[in-house]
Amino acid sequence: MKQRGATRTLLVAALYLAVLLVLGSTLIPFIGPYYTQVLIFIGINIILAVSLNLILGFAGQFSIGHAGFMALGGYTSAALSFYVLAPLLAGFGTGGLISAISEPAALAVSLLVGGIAAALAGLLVGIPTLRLRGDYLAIATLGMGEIIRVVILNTDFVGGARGFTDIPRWTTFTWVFLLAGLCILVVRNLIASTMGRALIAVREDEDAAAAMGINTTRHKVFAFVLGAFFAGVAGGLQAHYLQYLHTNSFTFLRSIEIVVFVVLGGGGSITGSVIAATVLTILPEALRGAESWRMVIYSALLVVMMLTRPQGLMGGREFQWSWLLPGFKKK
Amino acid sequence: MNQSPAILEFRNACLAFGGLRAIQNVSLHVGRGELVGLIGPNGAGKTTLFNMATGVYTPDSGEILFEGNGIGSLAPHQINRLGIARTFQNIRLWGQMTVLDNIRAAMHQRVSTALWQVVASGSAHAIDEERLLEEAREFLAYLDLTRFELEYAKNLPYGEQRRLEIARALATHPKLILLDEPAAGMNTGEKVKLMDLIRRLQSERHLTVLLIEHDMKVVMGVCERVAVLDHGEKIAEGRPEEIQRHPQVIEAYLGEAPATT
Amino acid sequence: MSQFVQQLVNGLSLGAIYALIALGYTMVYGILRLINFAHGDVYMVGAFVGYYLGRLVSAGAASSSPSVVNFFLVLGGSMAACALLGWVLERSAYRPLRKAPRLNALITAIGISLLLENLGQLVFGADPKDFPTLVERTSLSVGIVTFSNIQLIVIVTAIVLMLGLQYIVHRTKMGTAMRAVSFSHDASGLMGINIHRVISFTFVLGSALAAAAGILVGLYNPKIDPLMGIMPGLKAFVAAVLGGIGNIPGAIVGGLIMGVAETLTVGYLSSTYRDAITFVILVAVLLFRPTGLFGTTARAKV
Repeated sequence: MKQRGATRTLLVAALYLAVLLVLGSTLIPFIGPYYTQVLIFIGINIILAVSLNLILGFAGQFSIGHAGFMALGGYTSAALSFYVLAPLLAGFGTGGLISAISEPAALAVSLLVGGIAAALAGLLVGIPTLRLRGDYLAIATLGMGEIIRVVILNTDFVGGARGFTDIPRWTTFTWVFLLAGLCILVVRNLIASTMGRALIAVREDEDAAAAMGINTTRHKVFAFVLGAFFAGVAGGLQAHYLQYLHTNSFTFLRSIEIVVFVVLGGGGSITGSVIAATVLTILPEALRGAESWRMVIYSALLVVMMLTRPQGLMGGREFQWSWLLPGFKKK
Repeated sequence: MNQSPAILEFRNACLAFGGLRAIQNVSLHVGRGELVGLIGPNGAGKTTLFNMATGVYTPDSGEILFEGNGIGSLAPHQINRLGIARTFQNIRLWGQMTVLDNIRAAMHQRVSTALWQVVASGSAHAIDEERLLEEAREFLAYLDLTRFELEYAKNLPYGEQRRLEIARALATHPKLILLDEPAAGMNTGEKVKLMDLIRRLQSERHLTVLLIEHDMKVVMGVCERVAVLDHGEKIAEGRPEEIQRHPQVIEAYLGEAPATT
Repeated sequence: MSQFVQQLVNGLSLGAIYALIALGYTMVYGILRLINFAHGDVYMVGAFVGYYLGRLVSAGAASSSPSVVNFFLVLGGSMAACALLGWVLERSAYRPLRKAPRLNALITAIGISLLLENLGQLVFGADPKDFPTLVERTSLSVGIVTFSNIQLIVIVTAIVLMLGLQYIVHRTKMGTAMRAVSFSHDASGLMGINIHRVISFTFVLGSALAAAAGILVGLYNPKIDPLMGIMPGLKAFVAAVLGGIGNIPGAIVGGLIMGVAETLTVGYLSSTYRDAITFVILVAVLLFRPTGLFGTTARAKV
């Protein structure tokens, strides 16, 4: 009984990985580069949406700097790969077997470092601002995003205003969905734990949470830093897929797009974030040519949603297997 | 007067908001195991005193001691961990959480599973969670809330919300509990049950209780000692029957007769 | 030295514009505890209304009228239009959320902001437009400092509007009601103040001031586009935070400081840091004095 939780987690994880590997080697070559790209963007957006949901939906802290963390993670991991890891790998030679092992290892290191860089930035912004109440975090994260952008623009080392080119292409379909799965798993298990309940208590009533012994600042900072970490990882994935980074991809609007995923899907629902990120990644692709209307629709949706259904699509609920299989009752 | 050793003590505590002196030179002694009432007209500073004892406000001068140690400058969560829990005048439950989760979240501080254990839903985590669930259900049973277990807190009837606030405070394992107008909005039957509960907190759980209450029947019915605040100052203190006859207290309440219903 | 004084003058006229926008932020925050993110876009709409009105008056029969009259026509028309816009926004988007969590109102404000920007791009076109010349630019010199008549108009107009605002807030019944509501909604309601009307009035007032800022910036720096409100909006917000959000004189001082800081940064460092300085100031304020220069500590009510 005691071991069942961990065992089940491992089992599901192994099964998921197997499915990804099979899909990666059969489906992906079959559907061609365009659809692969759409799938990869879906995966990256799921990571962004679920990680922001942890901050916004569960902890109730309004961060509009997720793109800033993404940029920091992306540029850090890209620089690491470009200047250190790729030359190192080139030294090993490019045999089939060697690169089959060394490339994923290099990507893993690179993403981890990118995520940590973003998490550190989150810590730096979070500690002073999360002590304060309410909207200061919004404006501070916005400011942080802009500062990161200006600094990158003026750093020649990572291409400055020209953009960062020739980043090795290590991101694959399997990697993106492996990390999306990891992100969902971490957030889901966290939320179901005592830590998650404390986090939601902070969202529901911060004063009451403090009066019940919950260290509110610590919990908010923790959610914020973990969210920033995954945003950084998402940035790294994007960098190693597009092989090119420019600060224009990480503006305030990108942050807002992620907020829209969370709000439409429903703050506090992982399922909602996943659905919203998926649909809203496909939708613009389907509506190509109507680009100028896209943001009008996004913003109108945001307002209408807040006025009519502020709890979002899922209203804080999660997907249950019992919806599909009426006989399958979860205890 | 100070027979029993103090669990909570205010020593010349003062607090001002801008020019307004909310608490002036208040000294108050609450002995271990006592059941003390705090009364006074609206705006007298009763809740402010609670807020000072729980770390929401830091006194401008004077001291607040809990079990002999100064707590004036501690944060609310630190004070709770030392053993002071409270309820709120205007019920502040975590509305979008279930009744059970309101209790479990309040027990949070006593779980120390490592993060990776949580994420992997490992065995230590599972044991913790089981123990937590069991204990949380005991608190719900104690306050007769078991049948609401999976209800959202915001959907409970008013009286049950007040009880859930007490259950939540108990779940933090306090030594001292501060009740802020626990009888407000209750009908006579509920009040009788509440008085019984307060007495049981003292006799069965060996808690010290300090309560703010406007309902004189409740105050006189359960409190062993009563302190009276007016305009931020303590104007009287004594046994309930002494307080009822105290000329200054009667004067403070003039025009605002104590509610007797 | 003369360059420094020159930068100071330029900074003050830019700062006066920020201050006008900051007033709207600070008033709305004071009364609703809401960062009205759409406020910078109201300023943009103000500039565009001025653009069309300006073309109308300078092309139409009024072309013979003196430029001062044209300026006041455009200023008044734009302020009226934005006052209406502010009223509509409050009425349709913010009022329904009065009892909702503040997060919802904040997200709505961002949604409105994006909506105005993107509708602006569809309606006005995304390319920058030249604001019509309402007043011919001439140079004036006092001692070592040279400034344009436009800068003079900007500063004088801003001062007049700020004095007017001070009058409204401190000398009229509505102003007293505004101060009461910002102190406590409940108590004001009990005193018979129509809170909804006071909040509407606050939006009207703030939006009119933002429109004035839009016209002044059109005179000063005659390129306008639908996204022009984003940066000045943020800067004005930072100005409001710097001055102590909710504090009217604080917003004015904050705006002036932001303007001067920006021109000095551009003048002595590099124009690439023009916008970054804003956020450096913001971070510094949040770290060292989160309540701003004139703010008082807001105590949480339990």
